Formats: sequence, structure tokens, C-alpha cells
Amino acid sequence: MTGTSAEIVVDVRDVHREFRIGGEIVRALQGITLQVGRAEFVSIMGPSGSGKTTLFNMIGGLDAPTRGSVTLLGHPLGTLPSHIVARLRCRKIGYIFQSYNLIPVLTALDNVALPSLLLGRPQAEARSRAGAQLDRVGLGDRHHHRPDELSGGQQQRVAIARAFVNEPAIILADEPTGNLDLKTGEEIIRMLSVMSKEDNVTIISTTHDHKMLSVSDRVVWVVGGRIDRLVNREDLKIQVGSIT
Amino acid sequence: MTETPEELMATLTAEAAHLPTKTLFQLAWAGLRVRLARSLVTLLSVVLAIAYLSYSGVSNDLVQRLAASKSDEIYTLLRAAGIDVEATAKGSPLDRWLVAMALLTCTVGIANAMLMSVTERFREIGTMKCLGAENGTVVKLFLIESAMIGGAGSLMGIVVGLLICVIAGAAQFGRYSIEYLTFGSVMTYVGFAFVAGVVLCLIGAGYPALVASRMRPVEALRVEE
Repeated sequence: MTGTSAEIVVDVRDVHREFRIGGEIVRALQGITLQVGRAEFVSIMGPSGSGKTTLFNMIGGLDAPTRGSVTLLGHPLGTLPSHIVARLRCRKIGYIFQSYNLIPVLTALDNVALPSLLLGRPQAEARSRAGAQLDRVGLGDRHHHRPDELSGGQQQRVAIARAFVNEPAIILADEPTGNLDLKTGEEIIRMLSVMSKEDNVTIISTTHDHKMLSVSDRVVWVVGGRIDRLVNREDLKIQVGSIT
Repeated sequence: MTETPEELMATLTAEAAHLPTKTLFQLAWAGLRVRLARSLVTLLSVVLAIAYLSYSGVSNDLVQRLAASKSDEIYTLLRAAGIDVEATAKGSPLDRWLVAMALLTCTVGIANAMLMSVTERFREIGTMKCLGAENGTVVKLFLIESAMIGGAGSLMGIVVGLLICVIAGAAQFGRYSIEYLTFGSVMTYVGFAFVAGVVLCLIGAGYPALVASRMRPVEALRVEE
């Protein structure tokens, strides 16, 4: 899958990002180059403050590099006006957050329907798509529950349904298991992995969770704003094997 | 299944990522309901301001019409009520001052309530922007929310203002108060009061809505609960 992949979905080239905090310049990213192919599952690991969240935000077009370029599906994000980037995000990127980030006043069904409505799909179609995705994540009986009536694991499954509803090319997951217990976290990871293969969707996830490594095709370690190590699945198994 | 970058760009340029009005109303309504106590306080300030505006408009109109009646009986009633017809015709400065203050207070109240609503919903707004909501959608959401307060508050204010007007008129001028009120002129003042209420609410919500739409999603997602 890696390297030889026919279609590059995410192309990050020599990306630098500097923040000015107070009088000081903080170099969050110092030359990151990374290509991710279609349907690949890539985990980004690194200590907090390593720049992995900054890199993650760059890929989603939520932040712009100081130097270098990020290209999504053949479109360099730096050259696009912000409303086109917003539409690109809506149509091609699904988001999963550590703290689920569901809209508290909407039911599960309406939450999942939201990205479809943003695309301008008719209400009936958006809701039927949303219903299908909720059934898929095993929440067929929870369509009309509001987020505060659902457990953490269930909320994250609603978020997964929401991320998949527009048939995106890429799903960006920011510490998706960070707020979940071991068992629930495992279920969420397995679900993500299975659904991404079914839908031919690329998953890029930041994580601290070693359970995540077993389903990843590649793991990128980011340290001090640079890629420290890049390990493919085959090599990863040997490593994990040698540890246990 | 896989489209070329050019095809994708064509789709992106053609489509508009706007939520249907029904969903916007649903979100705005839910937002008002969740903050019920504050919504009601804001609503009350609009009701009072608009009640005062429509009351003073319609009652001034009534006095003008009564004064124009040339009837001695009505003149006696006017004098008994202590109304200086000449002064009312110009509109007393105190009245105008009070109306202006009431409207200003209501606008500031709306702005304040909406700013708080924006601050509380940083995460929610950021999430919607991550999902692909454009700035215009966010602006619309907050404008609709305040227009709902403005519309409902104005209607209630008009009812209250007219009721006071009719009761006070009946007490002072008896049947003349009804005879001399014309439907057309009442509707003019009522319409003006309604439009003023909604417009002031939109003005009050303008800045908060702009703050919300300009917010960058990254900042919103950084806010911890």
C-alpha cells in the first residue's frame, strides 16, 4: 500500500510552521514531508508539544504553513480561498475529535445529518443517509437520543457516523480514544479500521494509544517538529512482537 | 468513483455549503431553549421597549385626532386629563428621550446576550466550521436567533402597548378613545414598532455574529471544557 500506492491523497511537503508567542518565535514544525495514499491508516505519534497537532491541523486546512505546502486530492490548500477550503473539508474530510464535539442541542440523527445538510442535500436524503450510518455503527436504536443521553463510547460512535456520512476521502481523528476506557477504545479503533477499509477511506489519526498501532499501516513519530521515525506495518509487528 | 482534481474543483466551486433555513431555525430555537432564563430576560427587555414605543406612538396619535375633533366635550376631557395638546403635537422631549433610552437598552441587552451565547458556544461553532460550515452560515445562525427574540418580543410588546393604550384611553376619554382610533394609523405605528424591534435586535447581534464567524476553528477546538 505505502510508497507504491497509485493515488496520493495527502501530500505534505517541507512544511514549516512558526508561532509568535509573546516576543518569542516557536518553531512547531521544522520541515515535515509526508505522503499518504488512499485507504491508508496512518497514526501520528509523539509527545505533547511535539507538533503533531499542528501537523494534523495543517492536513485539515485548519492552519496554514509558514513555509512549504499541503496538497489534498491534488489541490494545494495554500492557493484556495477559505470558503473553497471549507467546502473541500465538508465534502472530502471527516473529523473525529477526542471529546466527540457533537452539537449538544441536536439528536444523534440530526448531528450525523449536519455535514450532509451543509453540502446542500435535501433534509430527507440527509436524514436517511444519517440513519444508515448510525445503524452501521450499531446505534440503530439511538437515533433520537441527544448527546447527553449517550455514553462516551456511544457519542464517539455518533461522531464516527458523522465523519463517514458524506463519503469522504480522508478521515482525520484527533486522539479518538483519548477519553475512552480500554475496552471501548478498542471497539472504536476496530470500527474505524473496518469502516475505512469498506469505504476505501484514508485515516490519519494522532494518538497516544498503543492499541492504535496494530491497525495502522504506517506510524509516524513526530518529535520536536520533525519526523523522527516512520515505520511500516510489517516492521511494526516485529517491533511490537519483540516488546511483548 | 475517484474524480480528478479538476472535477472536484468544479463541484466545489458550483455548490454552496449553506444549511437549509429550517435547520438554521431548529438550531437557533434549540440555542434559545437551552439558555431559557437568559433568553427570557432578553425577551422581556424587548417587550418593554416595544410596548413603550407602540404605546407612545398610538396614544399620541389618539390625542392628535381628539384635538382635531373641534368638539367641546372632548376638549373638556383633554383638559381634565391634563394634556397640553400643543406640546403633544411636537412630541415632548422627555417622551422621546425615554423611548430612545428604552430602545438603546434593549439593543445593548441583545448584544450582551448574544456575545455570551457566542462565548459559550466556541466549541460548537468550531466544530461546525471543521465540518465545513462557511462564515456566512455562522453569521446567519446568530442573526436568526436574535431575530426570533426580536420578532417574538416585538409582537408581545405591541400587544402589551396597545392594551395599555386602550385601557388608559377608555379611562380618560371613554368611548371617544375607540371612535377616534383608526385602524390604518394604529397599524402604521404597530408596524413601525415591529420593524424597529427586529432591526434593533439584528443590529445588537451584528457584532457578536461577526466575532463568531471570524473565529478560527483551531482556536475553538483548543478551548477545554
